[in-house]
Amino acid sequence: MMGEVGQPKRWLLLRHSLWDQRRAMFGWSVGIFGTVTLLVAMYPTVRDTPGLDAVWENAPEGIKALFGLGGTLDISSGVGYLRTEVFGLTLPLLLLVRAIGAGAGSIAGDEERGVVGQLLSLPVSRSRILSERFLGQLISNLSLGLLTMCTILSVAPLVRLDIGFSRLLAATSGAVVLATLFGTTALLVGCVTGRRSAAVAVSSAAAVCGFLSDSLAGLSDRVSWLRVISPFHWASPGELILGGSLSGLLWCLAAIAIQFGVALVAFRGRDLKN
Amino acid sequence: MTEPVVRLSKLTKRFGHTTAVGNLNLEVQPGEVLGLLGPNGAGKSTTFRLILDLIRPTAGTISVFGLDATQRGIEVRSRIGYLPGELSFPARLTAGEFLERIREIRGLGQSADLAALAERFDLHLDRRIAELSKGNRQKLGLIQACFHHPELLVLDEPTSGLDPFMQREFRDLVRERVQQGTTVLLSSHVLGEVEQMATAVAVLRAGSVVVVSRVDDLRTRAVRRVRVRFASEPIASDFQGVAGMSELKVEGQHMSFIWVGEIDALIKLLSRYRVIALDLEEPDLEEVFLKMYEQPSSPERDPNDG
Repeated sequence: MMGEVGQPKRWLLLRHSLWDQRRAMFGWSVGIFGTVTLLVAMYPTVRDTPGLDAVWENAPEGIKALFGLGGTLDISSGVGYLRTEVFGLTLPLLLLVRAIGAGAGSIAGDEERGVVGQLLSLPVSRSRILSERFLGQLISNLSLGLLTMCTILSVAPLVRLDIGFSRLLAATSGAVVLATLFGTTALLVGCVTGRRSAAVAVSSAAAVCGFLSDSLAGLSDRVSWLRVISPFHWASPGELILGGSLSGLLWCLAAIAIQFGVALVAFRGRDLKN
Repeated sequence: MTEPVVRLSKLTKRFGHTTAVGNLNLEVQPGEVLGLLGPNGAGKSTTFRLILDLIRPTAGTISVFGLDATQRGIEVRSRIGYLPGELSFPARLTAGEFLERIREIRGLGQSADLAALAERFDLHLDRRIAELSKGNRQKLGLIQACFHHPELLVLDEPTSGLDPFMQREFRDLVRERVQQGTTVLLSSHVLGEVEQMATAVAVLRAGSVVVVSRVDDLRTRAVRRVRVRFASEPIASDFQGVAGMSELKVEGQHMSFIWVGEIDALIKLLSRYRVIALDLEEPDLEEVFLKMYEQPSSPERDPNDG
């Protein structure tokens, strides 16, 4: 009877955390499916409105830059439309908000509620909890990206919107990588501080700064260096759908890995709050 | 000499400038039930959280089953059942789902003990944790700490929130486990609880151990309030100046006083008169401790009040 010593099966904590997220993920899936469907379905209205491109061409560069849409718009083409309406802001924003919320809740939120402490009183290591929860975040972000692609691929033909598979894949990857990057920032701050509010605040601020420094960099050559520090430049979904280079994604993936590594060290080394 | 199950040496934990645990030395022997006793903030929960490796010591060492708890936490925790002082479980799960998860995480097969314990403590496994009362959550906490038959039970305020019937059921469970060889480390600020379960008591004050004593020893040095009714009025001078007796009051046939020491001497003292009724108030460990170890620095706690 005494001393039954055992270890949890691999991916057990991952399974638990995915199961716990199922309701939230259902909500986000419905939201993203609805939003993307609606946006794509409105394409014919824009395409059949003459002169829209010309209006945008004449808009001040500052305005264009603020929306993250420098250069030629070409909104009446399928690719241009998706760039403006879906991949320019809406989809990255939706994925970001979800990833930041989930990343902050993953360790810090559960720690504040005492759930992490409870889990750690069992024979489980901190690296194990963090790794499997991080993996859960990756899976959630990837599956929402997959859902986005499937939605666009099934709705686009109905409205005669032409989009190449590889460009769609590249742009969606950009959005997923951006969301994962800032979601990992939230996870990292949560691992360092154990406070959910700090995790949300810091990662949101980082995302806003990243977005602004990328878009403002387009305003003048004097501030164009701002671009270099912005993940929105390296993994811009709006550029990727126009056929931009994928190599910038590697920087972002490296940043994700580094953040995860720091989070691991921080979480293993500190006192639990609750 | 057998290796102690828990050995804390010069254990210190500071949070900023606050010292929660300071230079604490403590050993728990196999099969022992050690009660950590002390007021809130004495460092009981902090000590337990250090043992579980939830927080890390500022200085000193923690050895459990002869293993360093900060280095080999997983192995240590697989042999411990822990009931935290503040319970927080995933609120959306049902009690049954939660216990099932713990069983999986501990890598154990199907266990009949889970259902048996739930039945014994009258806990409905199909209720959501969010809907459970404080008492029911406490039961859930006890079951998750005990079901896998750990070698060491670490119980932080185990009976808080339980009704008297469940408290007794819980004490019976601990007693059974101790008979099977389990070692228990529990904490309380209620002395009656420790007295009823523990074989030894360590009193904590401001993060370090003031005294370790066997509960039996404490009883023999116990403080008792005695009320006697004699058949005839006693002569007060017969009792004045007797060692161990204080606060003597005589009213007609009734006499009351505080008695410190062995019962035998008391019986012999009273036997010179015909006793009609004798009432000994069970020793209260709080009074015992305060009488024996009261420090002049805290005069506000006078055990003889009232």
